[in-house]
Amino acid sequence: MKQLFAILRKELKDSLRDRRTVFAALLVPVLIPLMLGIGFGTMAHDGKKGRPLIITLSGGTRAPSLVSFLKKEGATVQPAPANFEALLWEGKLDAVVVVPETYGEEFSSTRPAKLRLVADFSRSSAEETILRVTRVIGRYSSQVSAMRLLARGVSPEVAQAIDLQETDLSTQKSRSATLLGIIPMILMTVILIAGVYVAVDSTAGERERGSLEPLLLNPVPRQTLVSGKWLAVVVFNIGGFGLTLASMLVVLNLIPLQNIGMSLGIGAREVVIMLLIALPFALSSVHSNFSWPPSPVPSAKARPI
Amino acid sequence: MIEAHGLRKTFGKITAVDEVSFLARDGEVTGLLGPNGAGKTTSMRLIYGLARPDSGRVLIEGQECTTNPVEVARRLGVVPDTRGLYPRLTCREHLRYFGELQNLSGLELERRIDELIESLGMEQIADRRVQGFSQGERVKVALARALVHGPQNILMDEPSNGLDVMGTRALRALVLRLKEEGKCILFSTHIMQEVTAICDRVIVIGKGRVVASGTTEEIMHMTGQTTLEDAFVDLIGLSEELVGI
Repeated sequence: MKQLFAILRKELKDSLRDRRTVFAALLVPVLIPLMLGIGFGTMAHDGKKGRPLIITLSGGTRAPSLVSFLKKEGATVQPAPANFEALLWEGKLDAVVVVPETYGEEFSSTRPAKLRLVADFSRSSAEETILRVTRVIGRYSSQVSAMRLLARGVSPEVAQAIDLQETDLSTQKSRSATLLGIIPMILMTVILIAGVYVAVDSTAGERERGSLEPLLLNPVPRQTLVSGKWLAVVVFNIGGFGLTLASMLVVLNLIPLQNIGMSLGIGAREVVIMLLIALPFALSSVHSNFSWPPSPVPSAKARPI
Repeated sequence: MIEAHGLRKTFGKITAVDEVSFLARDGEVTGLLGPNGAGKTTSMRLIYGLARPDSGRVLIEGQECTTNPVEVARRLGVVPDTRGLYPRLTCREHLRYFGELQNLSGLELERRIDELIESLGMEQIADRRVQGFSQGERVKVALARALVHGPQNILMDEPSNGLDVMGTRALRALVLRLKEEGKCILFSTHIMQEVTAICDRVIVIGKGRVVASGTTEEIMHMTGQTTLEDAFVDLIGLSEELVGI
């Protein structure tokens, strides 16, 4: 047992000092989640339509019923600062709705009440907000008109010639589900390759260096030798797996997944379950690199020149 | 004590070792002398049990290494021809690793390591990684590694290869000290001066066969030559081969 740990310790120390081995073990755990993060990040950016609508109102106090309608529609209403035009220029605000002083009077005398939408219409990033503000105010307008018609005994449907119905065919959710589905595959791959260099270096490498011969001259049963090296590979595999999992979680937590209508339910319990599932893979992944059992007496041909 | 009885090893059509028998006693330095390709290294490998002879057997203190390899490994210290060090480990880590594989541990092992480092004059390089060591420093590490468990029988395969004058002298002094401690030392070489300087007995090997064995005086007497080199040339029949060219 002591010998087994001596071998394990030596192989780990030796491998951790080998830049190539460490690089191979770190490459996938760091690179893949990064690529995944970029992929999701772009998607989440494209999908920001789901973000809350903030409407900046100048003179909002003159239109209390509008404000309460907007709030009911789920928008956040904020008063416009005095220098809002400058802010619009700088792109710090997307759009401001100005309620003129005449609004209340026009509204109560059932003339079209004027509202001004101030925005930089050439800026593409403001487009979305402008569109949404226009729509929500349009809805308010038709609601008020409908009520006015009702009060005069006319069906509001008379005023609505067309009912445009929208069907959303966006495949964003299905795309991100596919992307998330890659994660288990990546984790499995990492388990299989994280320790490859350790396996190669501690077996074939030992022979190439000519250090196998002195090693085999020690009073150590061959099973112990192979087991020690095997354990070192398993440690690397599990380490690579854990690292990949950790960096994935970090990356996925940084991305606003809710923007693409998804949530990531990975907690401590799920991590433990994943580790348990991964363990047998980590234990068996060495087979491709070790020939088992090793021949009891290596032939003299094994001698390096 | 190392006994070889009728060792024979072939690789395909080539017979590397042919009926080699000899005895290396405790408290003596036995030299295995032969030209390049005579079968010295193969004989060594048969003795330390990493190659299996086609016929014949080897006894280390009466134990057969093919049937009892673990027991034999405890009594054997080997410096193979390929030094086989781990470039990323330090000298001290090499000694510790092999000491642990020999079931030594703790203070006893650390004391033993310090002793070896001191006696081989390796204080300067003890905690440096082996990568970048000179040939002589590598031999020292390989030597210390072979001696870490204090084996009774020590096999060295051309240990002075690549050593400078100082290194060779230090090696000789070490071998003589081990001999005084009553160890059995088997030493393969192709250098005559080394044999005359430290070997008590010589086994001359040529083309896989033992062509002569005995003390240097006995060998010179046998061939009627006045120097070991002439005796060696005589025994190996190199002169005849040269005529053939």
